[in-house]
Amino acid sequence: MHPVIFENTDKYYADKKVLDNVSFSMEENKISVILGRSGSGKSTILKLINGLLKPDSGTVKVFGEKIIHSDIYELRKQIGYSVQGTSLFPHMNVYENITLLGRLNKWNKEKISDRLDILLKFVDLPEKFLKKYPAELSGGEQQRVGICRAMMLNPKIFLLDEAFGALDPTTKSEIHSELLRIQSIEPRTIVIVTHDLQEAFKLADRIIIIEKGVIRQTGVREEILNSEIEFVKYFIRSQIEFLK
Amino acid sequence: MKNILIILILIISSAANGQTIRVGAKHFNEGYILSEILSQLLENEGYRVERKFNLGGTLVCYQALINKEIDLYPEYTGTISEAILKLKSRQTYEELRNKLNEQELDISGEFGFNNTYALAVTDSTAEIKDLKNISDLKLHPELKLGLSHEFLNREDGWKNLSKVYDLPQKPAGLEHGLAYKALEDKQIELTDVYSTDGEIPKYNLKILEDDKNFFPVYSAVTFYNIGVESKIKEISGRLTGKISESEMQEMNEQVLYENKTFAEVAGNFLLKKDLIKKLNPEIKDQSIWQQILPKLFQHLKITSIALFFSVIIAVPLGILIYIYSYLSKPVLYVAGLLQTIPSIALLAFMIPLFGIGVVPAIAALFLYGLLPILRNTAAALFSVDPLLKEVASGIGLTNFQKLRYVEIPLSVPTVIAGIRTSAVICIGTATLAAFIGAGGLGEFIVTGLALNNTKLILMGAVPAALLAILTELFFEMTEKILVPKHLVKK
Repeated sequence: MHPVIFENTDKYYADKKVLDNVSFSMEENKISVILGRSGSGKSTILKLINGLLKPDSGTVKVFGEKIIHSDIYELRKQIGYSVQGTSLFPHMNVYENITLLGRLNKWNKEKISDRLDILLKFVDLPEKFLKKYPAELSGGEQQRVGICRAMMLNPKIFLLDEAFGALDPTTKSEIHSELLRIQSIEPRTIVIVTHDLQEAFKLADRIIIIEKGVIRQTGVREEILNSEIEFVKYFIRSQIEFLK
Repeated sequence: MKNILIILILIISSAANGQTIRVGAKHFNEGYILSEILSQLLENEGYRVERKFNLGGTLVCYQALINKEIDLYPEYTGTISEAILKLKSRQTYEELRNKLNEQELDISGEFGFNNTYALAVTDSTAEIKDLKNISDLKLHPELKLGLSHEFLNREDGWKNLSKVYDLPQKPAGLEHGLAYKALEDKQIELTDVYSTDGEIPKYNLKILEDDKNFFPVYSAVTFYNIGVESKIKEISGRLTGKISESEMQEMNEQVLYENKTFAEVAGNFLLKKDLIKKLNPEIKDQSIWQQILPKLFQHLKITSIALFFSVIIAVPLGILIYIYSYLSKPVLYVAGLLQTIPSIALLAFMIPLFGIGVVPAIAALFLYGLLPILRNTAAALFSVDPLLKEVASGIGLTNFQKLRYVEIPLSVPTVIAGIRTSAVICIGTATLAAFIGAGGLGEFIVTGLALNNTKLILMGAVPAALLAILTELFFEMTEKILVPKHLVKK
């Protein structure tokens, strides 16, 4: 079963075509990484999955069915969403940010506190942070809280949009490891959007390379590394050279 | 149902209590004195008098009378015929009464004095130039005339006067309050006055005889609806022929230069004329705080009620125009338009709708208070970080939840700032509400302006300014309590 399927999907912003005849499917409980440069259309793909955007043509199927936008809220409960930057609600403390969705869905206190314990352990956040406000947290701490918030309802799909972009390399590496550890305990379908080749190679079960709204290649690590496709070769070479 | 019952009871009880008489006053020195004389005369007969002074000018008083918000007020025959009935020709007293009766209105007998426009010169100028009559001015084209702006433009002012008397002078316009000083300092030699002005004896002025009978007669009378109790008509009739021009002038002078209160001057006059046997013991001099506090309280009452309604209308409306953003332009436009109406005009517009007093004042202040709150509410909601809005939707909040848990809480500081602006505007504008009889600190200012009395103006202006500052501090504290530290923008 493929929880996310794109079939010949086009998307325009005004007159500009940002996705051009995109088709792919994502495997259940695997990590798919969408890799591309800024403006390549990779964030648009995430917003089509959780219904923030509607396709202009083609189909987006989630859990095997075409998205019904009038009933989008039920669907979104099963899709976690975490984005780059300070996307935490500044007027809520860490506890309120993380548990918001649980409280809105009328979970009882016990259920909320059980889930909270699990999440805090996942991302290695001590309980003393719960009373703090986002402005009092470092970038890495904020990102951890954002991940917890997105996973509150234990969603079947988890979307991460450049979620680790603002972190220093050490912190980023730590969170990568945590994510893989969580995935080994509580596996789910994860879609990560990034421009960072290293991150993609570290996390991905499967990589989708996108450029100017067109999917250039889909494959596992080795397939991408040994690609014969001009753009993919160029993209990999440029990032590796940069790392040297 | 319960509310209707309460209203019915109120109507019945107020109708049964016919013993309270509401006396109005025009807002100038003589207006207050005459109203106070009438009030004390009525009180002496056992009536309870509600003093609705500070109603403003002729038209506000007249509106209040025909709307039965006051029972009577002192007015002048010339004003009734020219400004209220707008009659072209001169009327006798009987003709005027007949015209008024046709409109269900009536006047008492004339008090005796005629407070008309007049031209005044200093005694010394009169002597040197040999001036007795207005006709004599024709021989002195060199005379320096300083006339009030109103007199320069009125039908019964300079325009027609100079034609009737064929006068050659070119008058300058100046503020009436400054004219007496200018005469004393010899910067001008002649000005227009009211013939009973208290300043006339004080500055040793001579009134020139209106030998061609140009000026209409402004004879003081009591003005009431024809249906008023006959006992009231009888009591106000007792003043007929009782006040001479010099007596009125003297009373005006006592208030202006001897620092006596209206009540004192009126009471002493009634005693002297044997119209009452003893002074009303309740009318005593009050300490400055006894005077200020009730007005301060009234001021707070008007502004806080108006602000309360502004908030409960403007905040939801602001949220509404955020949700239905196509409404935002027209709604903000209309609210902006309301703001451009000068406050005194907005207050005046309210009179035909709500009459005089507290209700129209609150209505006007409410309208004034809308825009800052409305604009800040909408602007705050529109400017919430778009990333946060998107994330809120993205993690599964419904539009309502997004509004309730993210957008509105993040807008609170800006909304409070809007309410703060409205509050300060309301406090300032409420001082003008005294013109339509709403009371409050503006009463001191309005009276002070009418009497050219700086102390009175300050008694209104200083507490109003302090109130505005306290309001600012109050909202600053509210902001500190309601807006958590981490939301304060540095």
